[in-house]
Amino acid sequence: MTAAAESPLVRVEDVTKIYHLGAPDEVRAVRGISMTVSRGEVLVIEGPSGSGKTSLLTIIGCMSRPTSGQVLVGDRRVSRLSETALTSIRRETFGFIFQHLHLIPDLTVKDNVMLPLFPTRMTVPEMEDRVDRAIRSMRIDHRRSARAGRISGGEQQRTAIARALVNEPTIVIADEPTAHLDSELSAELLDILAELNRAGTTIIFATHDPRVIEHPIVSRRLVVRDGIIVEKTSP
Amino acid sequence: MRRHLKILDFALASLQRRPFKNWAIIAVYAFTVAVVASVLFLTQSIRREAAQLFVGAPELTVQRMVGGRHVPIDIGVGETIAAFPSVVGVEPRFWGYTYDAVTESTITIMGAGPGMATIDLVEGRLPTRPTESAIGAGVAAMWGAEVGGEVILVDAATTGVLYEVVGTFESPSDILTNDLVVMTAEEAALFLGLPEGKATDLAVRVANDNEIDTIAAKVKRAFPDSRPITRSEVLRTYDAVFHWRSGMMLAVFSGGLIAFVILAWDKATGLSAEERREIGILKAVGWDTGDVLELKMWEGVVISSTSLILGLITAMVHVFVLGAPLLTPMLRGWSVLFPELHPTPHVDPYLLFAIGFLTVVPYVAATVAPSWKAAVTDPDEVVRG
Amino acid sequence: MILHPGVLGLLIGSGLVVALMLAGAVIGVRVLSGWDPSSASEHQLALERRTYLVSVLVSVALWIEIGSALLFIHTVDDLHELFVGAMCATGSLNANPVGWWVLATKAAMVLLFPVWIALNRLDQRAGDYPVVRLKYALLLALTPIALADFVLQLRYFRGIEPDIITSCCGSLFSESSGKVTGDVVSLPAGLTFPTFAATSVIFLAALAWTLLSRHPASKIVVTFLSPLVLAVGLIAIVSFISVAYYELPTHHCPFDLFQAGNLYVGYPLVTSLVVAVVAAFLPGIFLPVARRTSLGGLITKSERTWLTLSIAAYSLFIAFAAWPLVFGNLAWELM
Repeated sequence: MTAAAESPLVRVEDVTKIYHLGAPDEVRAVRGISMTVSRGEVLVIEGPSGSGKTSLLTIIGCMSRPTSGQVLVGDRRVSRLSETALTSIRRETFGFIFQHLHLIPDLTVKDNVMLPLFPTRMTVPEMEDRVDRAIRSMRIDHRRSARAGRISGGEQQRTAIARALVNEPTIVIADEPTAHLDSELSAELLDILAELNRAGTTIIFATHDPRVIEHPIVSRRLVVRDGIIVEKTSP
Repeated sequence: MRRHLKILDFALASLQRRPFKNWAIIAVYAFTVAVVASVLFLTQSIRREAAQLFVGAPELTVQRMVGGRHVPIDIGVGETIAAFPSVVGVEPRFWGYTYDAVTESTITIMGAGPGMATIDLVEGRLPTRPTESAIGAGVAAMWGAEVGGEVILVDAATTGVLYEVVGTFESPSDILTNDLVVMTAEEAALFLGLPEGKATDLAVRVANDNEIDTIAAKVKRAFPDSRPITRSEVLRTYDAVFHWRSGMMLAVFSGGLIAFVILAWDKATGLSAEERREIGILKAVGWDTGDVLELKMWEGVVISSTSLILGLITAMVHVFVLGAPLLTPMLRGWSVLFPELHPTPHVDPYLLFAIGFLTVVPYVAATVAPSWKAAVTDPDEVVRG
Repeated sequence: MILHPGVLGLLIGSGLVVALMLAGAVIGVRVLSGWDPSSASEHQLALERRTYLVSVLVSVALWIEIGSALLFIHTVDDLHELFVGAMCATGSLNANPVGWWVLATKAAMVLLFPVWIALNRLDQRAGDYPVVRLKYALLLALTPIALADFVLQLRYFRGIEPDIITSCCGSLFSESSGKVTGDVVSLPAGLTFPTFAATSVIFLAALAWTLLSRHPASKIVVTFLSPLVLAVGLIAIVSFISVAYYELPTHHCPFDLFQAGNLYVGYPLVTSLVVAVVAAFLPGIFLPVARRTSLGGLITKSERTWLTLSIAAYSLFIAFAAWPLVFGNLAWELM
């Protein structure tokens, strides 16, 4: 293995995240967490709601900046980057699957999947090509012109995954992906992600759903409670 | 460049998804543009029409002033002026006003002379005998008279005089000829009660344009009680008056402009929950604040240009096709026989630019802060739901 | 005071620019006083968000200002008919010489705003806001210019009175008589043409040298050359380019180039000159900050764009300048 492959994709060092700092409603969501994300792994960040796992996830995913501590993506120090620079790293590295999917219901499946590509320098044919591939890999090409608000729950979920994949991210982040799904859809989602992982994509889950935690693809578990890591396991 | 076009593309699609709200603002916006544009189109075309009429006007008009008032001038003065070098000819003119009690309007009486040549007769000819007259479209309509008919006017001695109509005038000279009755020069002098050997003013023709000012100065020196007025001065005065009128009307309408700006501000600030959520999603999937700002900017550009085009078309139809029925009351001066306006369709690019500047700039300025407010939504707010 | 639609538009436009710039400056001062790049407090994040507001405010002010400069030229031209002896926009400006200062403030803003925007773009993209202080210092310098523009413009329009017929006599004999001259004084083409040619050759050579070698000294040369090129270019326009377009040896009014009669050739002519000069001005001023690691790569990339743009724009300018000299009727009689 080369040195590059061995070095972690993301390194989080002694990170805290405090909301409303100094105000009476101050919330210490993350209180000094250090961790790494390695290439190709499936990492589960486990914890009850309010434990700080979503905050940690947004910090790893370059979606918000920590109050203190360091975050490195590759060898780039990102914790103090300006929003514009941070966003461009996020666009290149991460794909997100949100708990509530967050599709725009009035837009077609195709346009929803294309959303992350608009602010890039990609040409329109390149964009179309990327979108086609993502949609086909999720097997929703027959629905590409349907509005996202008018398709079934399973199809919406696939659309959201296609959107997370359209920028060909190295890391996919899924926040409570199965929270609102029945067991059939959850299983389907996990199968899709397992397949992605076999193709080399690193996956991070934030969840407290045992169906995810006990899934065989999971390579490592971090348990977060009250903003700190209380347990680490690698099966 | 490519990135900008893609965001424009998205902006277009996103405007179409909220047709009601956007058409509502476009309607108000276009109305504002139409008001401003109507005022400017109308005054511009009146200026042009007036300027065209003066093309054939005498280079110099000489009046006599007594006590600051314009009084009849000796025709003999003209003979002295005619002897000045560069002066091609001097023509005494006889004109004035008469009030017609029957139609309750003021009519301009003018003696026929060489200066008339530039006025287009629609039908018939100019009067050659004292009992004949040629009349403007407004007078014709009021009396129901055509060529071959008759008009009765009350002269300086309050005697009713009957004239046979031998010709009528029409637009584009409307603005000057609408309330006009032309008679022979001698008859006009008589009708207006001008003393023997006096004229209303003198029209001086000068061969070389560069000499006009010199001759005006000479006239003033030779006849200190005279007032020489050059053609360019008349044009300048007209211009200033019409600029002033259109500026005045715009100032009156600026209240409407402010109301529009407030509306724009309000619409831009009052984002629906759905729009807010949408911007959050965009930020979450990798748009940064600058991208969302650009989206908002493109939306503004599309709304502005649509409204600008619609407003300009409305104004053109209003002014050039319908004759500006909603504005003429404000331009009407002393004359009841105000001409029917048929402004010649002419649009100056400068005017379009001024209209755009007067309407788009306030709109853009009003939407800056609200757009920013919308664009700085934190992406992780969406994740937290 | 002349109540004219163009004048109203200009006053509204400048007033809004002042408002936008003042808002930008106030926010700028607040950002600067609380700025702490090492902190990730919500206060700092809020300040960072405000920097976006400032950049939109300034961008919008720039666009209004560009429009306002054009509207000013055309309005002043439209007004010349109101003054005895005024042949074109120059006459209107001479009617109240404050007008020339208005023109100068507008030109200064059109030239300096793009510099600010270039600085701002680099600052945002670099990641660690390396030139944030420089940026807001420049913003604070720009605001008084906007203010001066507004005040001078108001004074200009308040100070001009059209020469109209008064009740006592024709305007010809009123006090204003003869006070307005129609033309700008101009230098002989025999002197300006060689200067212009030499400056152009040196400028293009310096641009090419910088693009190829990226030597720091060359960047400084190009930056110092660009205001000179602007001045020489403008003198050339007044002295012989406009004359060649009009085909009238005595008519020097550069503003007529912006009129339909000359196919609006003034727009590409002046735009290409301004673009060339602004783009060439940038490399040298970024030299002091280019060493910062976060900016180095970005600046190197941007410099290529600026230099290429400058060469292209200046070549275009030369083409427009040379066109009437080569194909016109009047060309060589001037020399």
